[in-house]
Amino acid sequence: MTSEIQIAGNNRWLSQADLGDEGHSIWGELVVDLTGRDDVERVRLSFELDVPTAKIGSAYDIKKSSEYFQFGVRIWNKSTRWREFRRGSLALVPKSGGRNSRIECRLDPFPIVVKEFGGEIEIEPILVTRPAALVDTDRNILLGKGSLIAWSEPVVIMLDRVRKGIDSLFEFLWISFAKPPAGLEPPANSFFFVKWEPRPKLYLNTDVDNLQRLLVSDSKAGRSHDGSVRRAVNSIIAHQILSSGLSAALQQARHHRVEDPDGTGEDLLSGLDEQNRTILRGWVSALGTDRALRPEEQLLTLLDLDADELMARVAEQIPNGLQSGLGTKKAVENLIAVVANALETKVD
Amino acid sequence: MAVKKLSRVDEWADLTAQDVYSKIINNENFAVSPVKFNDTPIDFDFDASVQRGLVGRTAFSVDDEIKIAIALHEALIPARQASPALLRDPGVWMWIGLQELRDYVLIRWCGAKRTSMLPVTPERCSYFLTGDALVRQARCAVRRLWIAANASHRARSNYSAVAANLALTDLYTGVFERMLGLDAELACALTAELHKPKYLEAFRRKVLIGVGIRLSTVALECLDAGQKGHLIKEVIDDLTANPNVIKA
Repeated sequence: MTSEIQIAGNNRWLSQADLGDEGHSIWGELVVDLTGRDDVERVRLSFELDVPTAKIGSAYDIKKSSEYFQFGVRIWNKSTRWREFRRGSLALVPKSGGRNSRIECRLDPFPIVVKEFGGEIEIEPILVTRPAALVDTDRNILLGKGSLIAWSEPVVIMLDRVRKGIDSLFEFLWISFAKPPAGLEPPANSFFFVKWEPRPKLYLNTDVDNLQRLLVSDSKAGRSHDGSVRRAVNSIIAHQILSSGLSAALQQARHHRVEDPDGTGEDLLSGLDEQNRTILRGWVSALGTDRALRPEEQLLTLLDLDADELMARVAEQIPNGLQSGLGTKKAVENLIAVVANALETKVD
Repeated sequence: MAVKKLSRVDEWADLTAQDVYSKIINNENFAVSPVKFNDTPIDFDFDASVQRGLVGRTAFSVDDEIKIAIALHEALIPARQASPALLRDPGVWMWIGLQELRDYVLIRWCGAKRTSMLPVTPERCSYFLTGDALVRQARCAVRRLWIAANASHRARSNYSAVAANLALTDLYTGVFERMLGLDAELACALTAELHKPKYLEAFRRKVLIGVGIRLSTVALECLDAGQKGHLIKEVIDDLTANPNVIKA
């Protein structure tokens, strides 16, 4: 995905590179965060994706990809109650040079007028069936037009949210745990704690030597000292807050499911508090669900379990699921490598 | 006569249903300011004949709601043309509910009697509030009406679907509080069919579940109006032939 922005009164399209450091606060991998950027008039996006044919080759005659499938993005904006489809193009690239065949999908740059939307705009690339009826010969089922064959993580344009990723879940506050502000009682022997209500806040302890310096450092180098330690510490925090966060989010989802047992997974997610929705959308697969399903469908399969089964699933799956999802092993390996390296240097 | 300008309740973010209730009971004012776009105030020209029709009413029928919905949608066209995002401002909806359509909200949704014009409980004042979540949009008394009129306007370029959209509360909730309600064509096609007296509430529920199930594997955005109608018909036909295939 590539994206550019256009500032009011200036016809030029600007990319992340054009804006230098300023661009880092706007562009993430799958996020364009325009919070506070009232000067941005339009966003222009384009997409290029490859769909490997290995998984669908047994179900459809891949040579007829152009006839059977269509590529595009669907655009959702709940704030303004809008959903639409933008059609792209696709072409089959045959197997060659040791590379398997694939369907190359592209959508040429299209503009989004920012003032016509609010909140978050979700843009999800999808590959869908094109004919009125198409047989999936693998499963022997008849699919109607528009059936989802493949999809990718949605790109989100944030128009008025401040933070992204795990940062969007919490307000980060640094305080001395030894001398906390009135009304706060940090737990003993801890370097962080979370208050979930009313808006989740993550308090970090300034009394821990170097913690603040490490966690706010922007070192991205793979095995740099600061980067490795920061990732390891982040990993510990993330494990703990996501464990309790996932449990709380599931609890709310379960409550909503009881209130509205007929709703779809999308309805369910859209009714949750923002932080719970973000946690579940990003981390529901840590609970051992089928990753081939969309997050909302994964959530529904979990909520089909009874309360005891669900609790057992959470207890069993969270440790492994989070380790895998957070890259904990890699973080620990990097930390060990840095420490070992430092020890060797000292011995030398 | 000068056209009224759209305003908003500035303090909406600090107000709970309990706070709104207390302010109404204590006859306190709400902090209000005009809505501006590019420094220009926005017209809010609510049909005066509809407004006059609300005076002195002790109850509101679906027909009344249809008239109010259309007048409200027309009054908000300038705001929508300026920026659709203006209409996601909970302060705007709170102002409309408290100021422009106060009698309607208090009597129809807050259980107030014409003699007192006071909400019966603090919880009922949640109908003055709204938010970004679809449920919170559709449960705001006045935004609910606008959503019904706007869906009709988008699907048909007129207000012919408003009556069906507002005919049955359970149907409105089942359609417009869900993601499928964001597609105006599908939403209006569903209410047009399901508001007919031949369908009972349990059957309507099953149809909505059935449509939701279909849409979990189909991109609704890729279907045209005819295909959406066909999808609804297929679900109804399936359920008519096999009523127990979905449990509601």
